[in-house]
Amino acid sequence: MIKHDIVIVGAGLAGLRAAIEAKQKSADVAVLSKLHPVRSHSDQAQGGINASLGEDDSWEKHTFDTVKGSDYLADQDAVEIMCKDAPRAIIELEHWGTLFNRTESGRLAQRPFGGAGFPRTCFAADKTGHVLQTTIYEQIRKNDVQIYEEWFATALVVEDNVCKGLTALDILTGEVYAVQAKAIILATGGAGQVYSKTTNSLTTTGDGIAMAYNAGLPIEDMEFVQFHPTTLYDSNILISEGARSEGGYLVNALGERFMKKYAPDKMELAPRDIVSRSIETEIREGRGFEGSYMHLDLRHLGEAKINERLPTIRELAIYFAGVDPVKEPIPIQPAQHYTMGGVPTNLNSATSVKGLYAAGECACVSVHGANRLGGNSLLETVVFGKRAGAKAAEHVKEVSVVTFPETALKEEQKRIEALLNRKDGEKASEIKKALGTTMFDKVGIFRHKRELEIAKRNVATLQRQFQNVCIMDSSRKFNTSLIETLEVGFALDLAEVVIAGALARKESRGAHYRIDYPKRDDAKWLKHTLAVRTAEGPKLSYKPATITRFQPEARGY
Amino acid sequence: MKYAYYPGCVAKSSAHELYDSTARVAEKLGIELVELVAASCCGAGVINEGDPFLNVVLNARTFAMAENMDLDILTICSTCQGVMRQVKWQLDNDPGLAAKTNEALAKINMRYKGRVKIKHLLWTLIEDYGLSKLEPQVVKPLKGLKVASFYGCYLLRPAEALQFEDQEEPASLERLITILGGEPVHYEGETKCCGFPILFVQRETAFEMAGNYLNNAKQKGADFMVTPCPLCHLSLDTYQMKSSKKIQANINLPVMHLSQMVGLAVGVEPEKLGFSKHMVSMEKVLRVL
Amino acid sequence: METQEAVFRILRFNPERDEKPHYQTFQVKIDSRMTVLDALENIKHEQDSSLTFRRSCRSGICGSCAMKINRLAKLACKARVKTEADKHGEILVEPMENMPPIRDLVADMGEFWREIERGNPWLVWDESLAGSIKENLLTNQQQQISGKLADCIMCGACFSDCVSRVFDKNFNGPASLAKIHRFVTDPRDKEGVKRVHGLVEMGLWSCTHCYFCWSQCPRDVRPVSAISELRVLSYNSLDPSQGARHVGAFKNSVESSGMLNEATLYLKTMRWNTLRDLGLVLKMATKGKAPSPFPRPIPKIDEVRALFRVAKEIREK
Repeated sequence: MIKHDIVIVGAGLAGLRAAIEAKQKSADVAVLSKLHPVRSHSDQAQGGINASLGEDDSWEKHTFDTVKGSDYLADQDAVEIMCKDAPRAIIELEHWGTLFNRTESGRLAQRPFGGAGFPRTCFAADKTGHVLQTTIYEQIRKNDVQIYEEWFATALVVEDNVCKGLTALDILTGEVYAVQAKAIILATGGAGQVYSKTTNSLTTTGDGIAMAYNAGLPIEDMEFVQFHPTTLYDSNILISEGARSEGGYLVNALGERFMKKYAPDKMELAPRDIVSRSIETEIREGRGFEGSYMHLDLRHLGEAKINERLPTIRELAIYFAGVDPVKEPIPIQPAQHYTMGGVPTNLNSATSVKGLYAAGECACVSVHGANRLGGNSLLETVVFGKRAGAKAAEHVKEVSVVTFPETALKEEQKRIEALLNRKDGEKASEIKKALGTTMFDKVGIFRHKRELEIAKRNVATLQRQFQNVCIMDSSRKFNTSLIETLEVGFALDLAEVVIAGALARKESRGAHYRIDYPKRDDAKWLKHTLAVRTAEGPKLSYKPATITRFQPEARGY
Repeated sequence: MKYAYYPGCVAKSSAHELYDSTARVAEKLGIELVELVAASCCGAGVINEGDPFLNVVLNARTFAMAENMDLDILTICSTCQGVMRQVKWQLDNDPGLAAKTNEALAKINMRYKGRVKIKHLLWTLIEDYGLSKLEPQVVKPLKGLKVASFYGCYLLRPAEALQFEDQEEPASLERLITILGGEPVHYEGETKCCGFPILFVQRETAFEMAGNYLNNAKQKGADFMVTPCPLCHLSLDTYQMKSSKKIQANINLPVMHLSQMVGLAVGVEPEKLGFSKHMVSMEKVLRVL
Repeated sequence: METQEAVFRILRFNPERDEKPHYQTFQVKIDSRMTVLDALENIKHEQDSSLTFRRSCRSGICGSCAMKINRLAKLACKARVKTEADKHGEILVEPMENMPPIRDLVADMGEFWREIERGNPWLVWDESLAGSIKENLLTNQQQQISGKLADCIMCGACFSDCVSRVFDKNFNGPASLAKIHRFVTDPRDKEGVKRVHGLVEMGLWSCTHCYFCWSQCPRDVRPVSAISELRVLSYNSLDPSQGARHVGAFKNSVESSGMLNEATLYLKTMRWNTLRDLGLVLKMATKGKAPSPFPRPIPKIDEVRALFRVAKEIREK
């Protein structure tokens, strides 16, 4: 049995920031990740990280933009904390060695991002995630934090509302271990792979959120799924919002900058939910290219600017779409990008289970409410990652002993064994494909009861098929088919919750748009969805959004 | 066809057979070589690690000399070729560096204008001369001898600076060998490194490198190996005994310079090609011909 | 998009079943856009679910899927099947070199990570700044070199294809040395140039300039250039080493005669080690191959010497 005081699941920005904090507070902490830390999805973020550093900017303004961007569903006390802490959090990253872009005078440069009233997004060309992840991993090595690399967490172990630890599979050997911990921090990221068209990596499968759900915790606001407006046509590789902050235009097949119709003030820099819906509307009304995509035109920026500020997306467009943005417009379409929902936490990243914390995209504090502003996700990871690490370190000093129930390990080992030994059955890859298509087509940017009901039935069928899934590779060592199958299981669990939340929410707010209920309804729906697992499916309840400074207003851009 | 000829240092001292055989080949093929006797050593990538700017100006001076003659530079050494091409690539893409360089050259009344081209003899034969023009001049074909090409590093990488052929699947030597009547033999290591740059500093590693690749070629049935670089030749031929000992195999694979191979095929008398200077005897091969 | 078929020859190895690695062939229908990763996923899902490989982002930034494709290490998600097929015919896929195989295309990157650790790969930052909200002032120009070196995604391709690393296990390797240089050139690093002092023992002079790390790097980091720059720093900071002596001897030779004189270079670099090669040297002498240690300077040697002076002045400024 492996024993640590604190075990952090996930080695992206949130997980590693938590680890550094805990280590510096002298806790016995270890990070457990199914990938080597530098491969984590945080590495793929492009655009930037927000902080109100500017003289004419303020954390209050940042808070307001975030709250309005969230379509007033965000918990304002949490947003205030995040925006107040932002300058410290980002400067700390700079001290640690992040290579941010600079102004002429050597200070951190900032650019305007969607829905922001002020240019407050610090950036490193268009590879901000990579630069941050690299820097934070370097500091992890400096602090000599222990890492269980290529270990896959399979289940949380919770008894009497106390977290005891988790079971994890060492991918290299195939052995399932009991990992006993006084505190666990979930930092496993989002659940993009539930959808067929997503910017998320193939490994972003919502593991932590699903494990919490399966352990009996409620999960929050899962119906709020962000679709990023500009992903490369076909591959759906992310083309950063930074392209639009540097001045890029969105153009339809008639040559119009169509955002004028939907957000005449902010145009291309309206929040993502609005831009995605605009693009989708244009396509549905026949003004798209090949009935599928729009053009993102950067030609007027010039080669020098593109090479300096957007070198990554230039390379991505050339390589994966055969288009050089210096010479031609980039074909883009919306795709799933971010999970606003997740494991509910308080302001200190603590969940409702003692000793269990969550931070980053897998958590729902909620700072993003119904729609996230660009640049706030990277911010969330380091602000709440730090808080999670600090709280967990405090907690373990107070807790004397925790006993891991042996049965939990035995049951998990049996379950995996049974999966591996099954000789015949359904293919996980087929189930995943079908799931992704159903979700994107029917639980996507525009939703309707009819389609949601079909999706619900489809997912139920797929879940039944999954009961009979066969791995067709019974080797123990480095069995990626086993891992992929377990991931599909997690995705199915979460898909059901997304659909349930979307069906129940009879309004449109932020990224959740119901064609049959197109208006926002604050009177009935200014509240968060909570879903708990039961034998009959997710049971929903609600809690009100916390309002401190800003009363909900009409949301126009 | 007339070139500003840059033989490099090694061809004029410990690999003099290369210099001599090149002269014979140029004569036979009607290529006029005007030697840049006042040109300095190219630095071989070593001076670059003492003083990068010095590396640039020394080579820029050579470029300026050729430009003054209105001729392109012809090299017979992959290392010279690689180093010079890299310097030229830097100068042509960095106006600041070019300006600084010309400031320095001005002190000796010279100036780099950016017009000169730098070509290896191998490239010249393929592009400028043309294999179709070379073919009828082959009077002593290589009679199906199996020939292993050793491209080495500096002639292939980095592709951005060299811009001649695909560094993954180069074919220039094989094409030449075929025209000359030989049979190209492929083996693991043909585009790898002979170890010469670390011959002084990490000899054991260098011996192992060269030994492995020579042995691979031998195992694939090569009768001899050919190389377009005299530094590679020093490693592959002169030090072959040491390499053999290191990998505990009796390699005994003779290695030709590019010019020697071409010279043989176009009818230059073998005695004039300097094989007697090699450490590993070329006797067996010459007997076949 | 027109489709055709491509043949993949993949090196398989399952330690639970196989005594040693063996090749297996698969045929896949491809189009002009498909990447090798797409093909591997296709094979895994449609033909053989035991095919094992690492992958995540499928867009060339996470570094998971580095493997040898047609004998050179590349990211599978960027290698286009049609390009590989057109160039090489069959597509040979193997795990990275210089790392022991775990299973199929998954290599054990332990050695790679250990070499990285040897270089203290983190910014040694000014801890008195902790908690302050003032950033270090730095211009884009000042961080240009570090920025390019920090593009490294730690995929291992350079380490895989490093020719020196095959034979010299003490050689720290291209990725690690490039990362060290990233900190040497970052004005915020408190160690800075001091980092250069440990590098001779880590094989700084073992790089043989094969340039594979430049050609195979998917992010254009050019580790070999970083190694050359570190050598410049090592040489100019008078770190004693055979490599530095070699550079010094080379420079002296060219300054004095305009050419490289192998004899003096040999003697100055190797010193008494020359005796080890006495037999070879004598043999060379009998064949007329041994160069004279007293070379005649080239014509216009003054020009060469003038350039040496100019470069020296600039360096000393």
